[in-house]
Amino acid sequence: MKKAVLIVFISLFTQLSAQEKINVWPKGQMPNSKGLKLKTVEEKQGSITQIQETELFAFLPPKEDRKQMAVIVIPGGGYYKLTYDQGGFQNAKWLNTLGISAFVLNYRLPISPDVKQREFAPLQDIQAAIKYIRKNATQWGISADQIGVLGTSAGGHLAAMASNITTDYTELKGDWESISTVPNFAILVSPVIDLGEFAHVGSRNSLLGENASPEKIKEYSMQNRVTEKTPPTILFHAQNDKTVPVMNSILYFTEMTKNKVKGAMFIFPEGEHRIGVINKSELTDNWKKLCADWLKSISNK
Amino acid sequence: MKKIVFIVFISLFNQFSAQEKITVWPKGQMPNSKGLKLKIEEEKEGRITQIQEAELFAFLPPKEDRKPMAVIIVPGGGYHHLTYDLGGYQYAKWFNTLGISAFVLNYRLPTSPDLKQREIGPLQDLQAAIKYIRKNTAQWGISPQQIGVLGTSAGGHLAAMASDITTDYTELKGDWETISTIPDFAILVSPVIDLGEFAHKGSRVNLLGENASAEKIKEYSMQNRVTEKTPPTILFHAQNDPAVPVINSILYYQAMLQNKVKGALFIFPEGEHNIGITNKTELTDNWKKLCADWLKSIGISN
Repeated sequence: MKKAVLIVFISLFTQLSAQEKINVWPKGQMPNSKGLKLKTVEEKQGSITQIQETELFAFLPPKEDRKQMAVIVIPGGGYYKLTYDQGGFQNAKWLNTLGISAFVLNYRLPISPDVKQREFAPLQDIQAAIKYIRKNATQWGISADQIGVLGTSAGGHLAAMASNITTDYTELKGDWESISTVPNFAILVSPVIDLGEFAHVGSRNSLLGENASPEKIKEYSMQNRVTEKTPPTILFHAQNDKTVPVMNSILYFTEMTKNKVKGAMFIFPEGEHRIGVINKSELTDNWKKLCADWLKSISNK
Repeated sequence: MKKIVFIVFISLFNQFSAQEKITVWPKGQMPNSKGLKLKIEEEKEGRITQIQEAELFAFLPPKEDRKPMAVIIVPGGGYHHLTYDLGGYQYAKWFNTLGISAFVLNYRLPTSPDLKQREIGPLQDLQAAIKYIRKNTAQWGISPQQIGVLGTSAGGHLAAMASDITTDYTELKGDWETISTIPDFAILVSPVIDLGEFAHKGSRVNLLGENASAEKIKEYSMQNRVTEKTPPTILFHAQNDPAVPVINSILYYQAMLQNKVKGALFIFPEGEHNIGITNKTELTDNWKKLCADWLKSIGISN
């Protein structure tokens, strides 16, 4: 009898884990790497400052509740850490409650000693993750053309990079090549957009280094990269955000409107730099309902 | 028996009317008037193109539900007409369901032949209405420090004028003089803000005339009038508004940020120029919940 219990426990942990860990890059094909062996460093609970290689954590709703839509959740942390729990797993669980599959991406940070060209690494990882999920969509019963991204803070910057930069930096060959790296929609929460006047300086320094040229800053300020092909995007920000000024979202949405990109922008009076699944203010907490209704409005099924 | 029924009916219509009509200006004190006698003209149902003088329609929630807060509703209509039902009464009824008293303002239109100076007519009426309500709050059990404005479309422009222009144009004397004309908060729905590059041209032409100078256009573009004293403001707009471009709200909100005015900006993908009490899309319909939660957050409870 005791043996049976033990077996059940083991299978719970191995087969029925709430999240499944996926290596994004096919073995030996991760670009932009010096080949160093790095350890995962968790500086404090829920905050990782170094990873060995790109990982996705799959969160799937029950088969009966599962819709065709999936979202890659991109944690923030100023491009020097990954808030994978609060900015990742927590958002993934909430998406699951809507019947939406979620994949939390732990991307290589630009400050990693293993990276050859710092500013490409996070983008390469999200591009590969999007390809990976599209390639494997049928195994989860999701649709390859309803794959969105949700990014918070610097993760919002990375989500915006994936939305706007059409060059494929993954260097993946064969049947990988024809798979698009551009998401079908984007959700940007308190996003870093501008790396100039309204920059979160920490994010800029981590991504571009201390002495980035004005050209580089302009190139990586995402409001300058919006085109008519930018996917539909919804933005959330708090007016009293002291870390990432609300102008970041306004600049992006204004460019979306100029380029006829469909979307929405919701700026709350309060919420600071922590709009999340749990919020202090009742008003700000409405962002989840707004987001869910928007996702409903753009989904095929 | 029939007689009793008849009496009950009469008293329902006289005493228990859902809205009470109030003449804003004290008799003979309406400024900026040539003294013409005008008829009320309703060009089609729910749409008035001419009024004789400024009127308020009071909508009060039941005493038990009534909070200290009140809102003056400023209907739109491109400064050419007043959408007093869809853009007025309908909002007033909704506010009543939140326990908030509402007063729908039918203001003199700048196109009225009775006005001497067209562009200040609507502002004078709204300023007088704010004073009137503050003066009479005790009779309704509301607070003179919680009097807001809600304006739709051109009514949003007028609500922004009242928020930003501190000069008192009412010419009212005596105990009226000390009462502020500035609302305590503003709700702008699909508002006309800019009268320049992003203008709703009809509103500009009706307010300022056909050949307004660049200075006049700048002066009446409300993003240029925001100061630190602008009251807290919440804006709603649809990205696909074909009548008043969404950039109107964005410009106003940016000026609020520069002046540290507290508020919120909510832009929906859909809703066109028809964000209202009933909405086609579920997403846009959330604006009411957002507005109600915001009012709760700035309200001082009983």
